[in-house]
Amino acid sequence: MRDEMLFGRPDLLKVFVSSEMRSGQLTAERVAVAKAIEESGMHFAWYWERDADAGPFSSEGICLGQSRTSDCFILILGEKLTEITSKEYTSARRSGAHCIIFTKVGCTRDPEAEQFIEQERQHVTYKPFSSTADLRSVVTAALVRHAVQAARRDQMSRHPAVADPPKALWNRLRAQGRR
Amino acid sequence: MTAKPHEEARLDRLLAMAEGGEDVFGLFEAIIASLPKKSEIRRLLGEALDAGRVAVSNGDSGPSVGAFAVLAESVMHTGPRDLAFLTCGVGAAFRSQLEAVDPSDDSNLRNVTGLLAFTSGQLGTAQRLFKESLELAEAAHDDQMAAAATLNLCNVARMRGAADRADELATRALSLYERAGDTRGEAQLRLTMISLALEAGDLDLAAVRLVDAHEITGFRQPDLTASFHHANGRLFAARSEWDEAERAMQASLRAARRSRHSDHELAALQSLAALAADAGNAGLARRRIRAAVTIARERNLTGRLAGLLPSYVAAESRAGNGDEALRSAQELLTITSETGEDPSVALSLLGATLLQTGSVEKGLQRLEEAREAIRQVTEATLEIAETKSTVFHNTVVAHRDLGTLVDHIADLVAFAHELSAEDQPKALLTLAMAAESAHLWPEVEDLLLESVVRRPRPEQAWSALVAAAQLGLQDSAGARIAVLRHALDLAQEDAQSTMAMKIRNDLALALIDDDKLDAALDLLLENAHQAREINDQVTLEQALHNSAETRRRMGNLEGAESDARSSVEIAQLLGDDELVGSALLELGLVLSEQGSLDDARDCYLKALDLVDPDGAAYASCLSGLAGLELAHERADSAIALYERALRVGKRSDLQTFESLIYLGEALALADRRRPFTRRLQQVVDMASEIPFLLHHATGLTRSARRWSQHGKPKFSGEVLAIGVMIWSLKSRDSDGELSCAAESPLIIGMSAAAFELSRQRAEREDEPGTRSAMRAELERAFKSRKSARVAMDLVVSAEEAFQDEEDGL
Repeated sequence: MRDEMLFGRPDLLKVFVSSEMRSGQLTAERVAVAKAIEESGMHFAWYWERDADAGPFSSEGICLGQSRTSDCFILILGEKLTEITSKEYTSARRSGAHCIIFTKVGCTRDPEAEQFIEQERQHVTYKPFSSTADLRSVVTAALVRHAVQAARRDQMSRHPAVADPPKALWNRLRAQGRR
Repeated sequence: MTAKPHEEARLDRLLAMAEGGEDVFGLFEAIIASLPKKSEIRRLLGEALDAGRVAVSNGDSGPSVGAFAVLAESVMHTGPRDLAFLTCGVGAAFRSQLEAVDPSDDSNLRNVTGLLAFTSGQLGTAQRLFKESLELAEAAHDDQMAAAATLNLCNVARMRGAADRADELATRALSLYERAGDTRGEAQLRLTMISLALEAGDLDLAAVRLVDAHEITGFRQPDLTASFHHANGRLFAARSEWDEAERAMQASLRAARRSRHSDHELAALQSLAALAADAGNAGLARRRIRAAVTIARERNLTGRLAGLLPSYVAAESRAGNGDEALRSAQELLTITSETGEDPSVALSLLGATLLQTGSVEKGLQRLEEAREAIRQVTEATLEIAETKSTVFHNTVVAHRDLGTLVDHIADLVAFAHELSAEDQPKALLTLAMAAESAHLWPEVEDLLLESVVRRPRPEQAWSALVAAAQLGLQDSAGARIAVLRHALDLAQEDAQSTMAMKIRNDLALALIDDDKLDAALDLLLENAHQAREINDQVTLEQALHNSAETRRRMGNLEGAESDARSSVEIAQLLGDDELVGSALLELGLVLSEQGSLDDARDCYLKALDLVDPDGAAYASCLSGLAGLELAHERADSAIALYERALRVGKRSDLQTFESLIYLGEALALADRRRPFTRRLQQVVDMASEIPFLLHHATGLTRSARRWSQHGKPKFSGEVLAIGVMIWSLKSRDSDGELSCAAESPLIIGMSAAAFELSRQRAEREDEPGTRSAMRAELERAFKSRKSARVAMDLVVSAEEAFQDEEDGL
C-alpha cells in the first residue's frame, strides 16, 4: 500500500537527487542539480529539502519510495557515502532507474566512497565536477545523452516493424470483463 | 480483409438460436443424448426440459423460461459453450409458446443471452439484449435483475473505453443491488468497480473499493474469491509491486480452477502473462499467453481470444515465430470480421507481422486498410490513438524499406497530422529520421522543426536538443542548425542559461559539419566567455576543445594549439580521464598538422591509455598514430594500426570510411595490390552513406600517387577514376542532374585528380598534348562503365579541371 500510492508518478520525468545531507557540504550542489534538471522543461527534481512533506512516514521510507519510483537518479558524491544514500542508490538501480554519479573534485573521499565509485563507474554514467556551474552543465549533458539513447533504443526496438500491441491492449489484457 | 464465412455463419446461427431459433428442441435433445449417460449435466438438463414442457402447458414461465436462464448461465461458465447457446434457445422457445411471461424471467433470459454475445465479442448484440433485460426488469420492479443488466451494460461501456459512462452505470447498479439486498451481485459489482478505478488510474479509489469488496465477498464462493484476488493483483501491479501481484494472481488462478469458471481462469492467466511481460520475463509471458490462447480456442471463448491475440501475436513475433504470429494475426482479423468490431487493431497487427516476415508490400496494404478503418472510428479512445500511432510508424518503415518514401512523403506528413496532438511530434521526428536515411534533406529540416514546434513551449528547447542529437548523418547539418537555432532563441528568451550553453555547443558542431566555421567559432567563443564568468570548467573545456577543432579546420594551427592545450589542462584539473584523452587526441591532430610529429605521437599514446578502448576516440588515436607512421613511410606499422582502428567496436561509419581510404594508401605504399583492391571496394560500398570531405579526395589521390611511384600508372588511373565516379554520384541533384558548381564534390574531386595527373606529367616531363598512362586509364575506366553520357560528362569535366590546373587557375 505504499510506493505509487504515496509517490505517484506524474507526466514529467522524475529525477531523484541524492547525496549526503547532514554535513551541509553539498547543499549548494543539490540546489544546482535540481535547477538544471528543471530547466529542461521535461523533468522535475525530487529533493528532500523542498519536496518532502511532513507526515507519518519515516524519512527513509519516503526517500526509498521516491528513489524507487524515479525515472532518473542523480547521486552527488562528496567525502562520504552514507548508509541511506547507498540504499537510495541501490533501490533506484534495482527498479531500473537511469543512474548518474557526479563526484566532487578536490575533496578527500573515505575508502568506502572510493570503493563505491570504482565498483559503480563501470555500470552507470559517471562524471567529476569542480563547481556548481560545472554540475549544472554535466547534469544537462547527461540528461540529453540519456534521452537520446532512450529514443534510439526505442527506434531500434521498433525497427523494422515489431508487431507491438499498444499499451491499451495490454490494459485490455489485464482488464476483466465479466458480470 | 477475409472472414471465414462458415464460422461467421455458425456464430450468427448460434446467437439466432439462443434468441429463439427454430429446431432448437431437436438439437438440444441431440446434444443431451450425446453427453455421457451418467453425467450430472445430462440428468439435470433432461429433467429441466421435461419440467419446462409441463410448466409451459400450465402457462408458468418460472420453471420454463426462468429455469433455463439460470441453467444457461451455469452451462456458460462450466459446460460446453454451444450447449449454453442452445439452453438459452430452449428458454426462448418456451417463451414464445407462452401467452404471458413473467418479465423477471424474460429479463434474466435476455441478460444471459447478452452475456453469451458479450463473451463472443458481439458487443452490439450484447448491449441490445442487456437493454431489453433492463427494461423488462424495471417493468417488473425487479431491482436485482435491473442491477445485473445495468452492471453488464457497464462492462460493455468499459470494453468500448467509455469510462465515464461505465462509472455512471456502475453507480446506478450499486444502488439497485443495495436496495435488492443482493450481496453476491453487489460483490460482483464492487469487484468491477475496482477495475473501473484502476483503468482510470485512481489507485487510491481502487484500494478503498477493494476493502469494501473484501467485506462483501468474504471468500465464501470460489468465483468471487478468484475475482477478488484478481482485482488485488491488478492493484499490486499498478503499484509495481510485482511479487505481491504475482501471488495474488496465482491465488486467483487457483480459485478460478476450483470454481471451474473458464472466463475467470483465462482472466487470471492473461493477467499473469501481462505481469511476466512487465517484469521483463518475455519467455514466461509468452508461455502464459499461449496457455490462455489454447484454452480460449478450445472452449470457443472468442471474446477473450480477441483480447489475447494482440499480445500473443507480439509475443510470438518477438520470439521469431513469424508463421504462428501471422496465423494468429489473421485469426484476430477473422474474429473481428465475424463480430463486426473495429478491425483496425487486427489489420495493424497483420500489417506489422507481414512486414516482419518480409512481405513488405502485402504488409503495407494491410496497414493502409488499418489507416482507413481507423478513419471510420468515431470514438476517440486511447487504444485507437495508439493503434493509429503504430500504423503510422510501420507505414513509414514499409515505405523506407521499399524505397518509396520520396513518393509518399507528403501523404505521410498528412498521416502524421491525423495523429493525436501528443503523438504528432514523435511521429514527425520518426518521419524526419526516415527522410534522413533517404537523403531527403529539405524534408528532414521541415519535419524536424515541425516536430519541435508542435510541442508545448517549455519542452521545445529540450526536444530540439534531443531531436538534433538523434539525427546521425553529417549531411543533416542544415536541419540540425535550423532546429537548434530555434531552440537557442527560446532558451535565451526563457533564461534557460545552462540549456542555452548546451544548445550553443551542439549548434556549433552542426555548423562545423556544414563547413560554416566562422559562425561555429563565434558560438564557441561566446560559450567560453560565459563559462569563464560563472566558473563552469566543464563548458569551458568543451568550448576550447571544439574551438581548437574549428581553428584547425580553418588553418589557424597556432590558435588551435593554444585552445587544445588549454582544453587538456582543464580536463586534467577536472580529473576526467575520458575528457583528458579526448583533449589530447585533439592536440595530437593539431600538432600532427603542424608537423610536430613526435609531440603528436606522445599525445596519441597518452590518449590511448585514457579513453575507452572500445570507443570512437580510441579508433581516432590509432588512426592518428597510423597517419604518423604513413608520414614516415613505415607502411607495415601504418597498416597494422589502421587495421586495429577498424576493429574498434564503437567507431563511427565516417571513421571506418576514412580508415579504409588511408589504409588503402598504406597498402599502396607497401605495394600490396590484392588487399588494396579489397579495401577500395569497401570504400566504394560505403561511399553513398558518407558525406564528401576534401581530405577523402586527397586521400585517394595520394593512393594513386603511391601506385605511380611504384611504376604502376594503370592502378593510379583506376583509383582516380573510382574517386571521380564516387563524387559524381554525390554531385547529382534530386533530378539526377550533375552539378558543376565550384564547391560540388565532383569538381573538387576532379581538381584533385587533375592535379595528380599534371603532377605526374611534370615529373615525367611528358610533351604538352600527350596523354600519360594514368590519364589514359582514367578515360578508359569512364568509358567502360557503359553509361556513355555519364562517362562523357566526367571526361569533359576532367578535361576542364585538368586544363584549369594547367593554366594555373
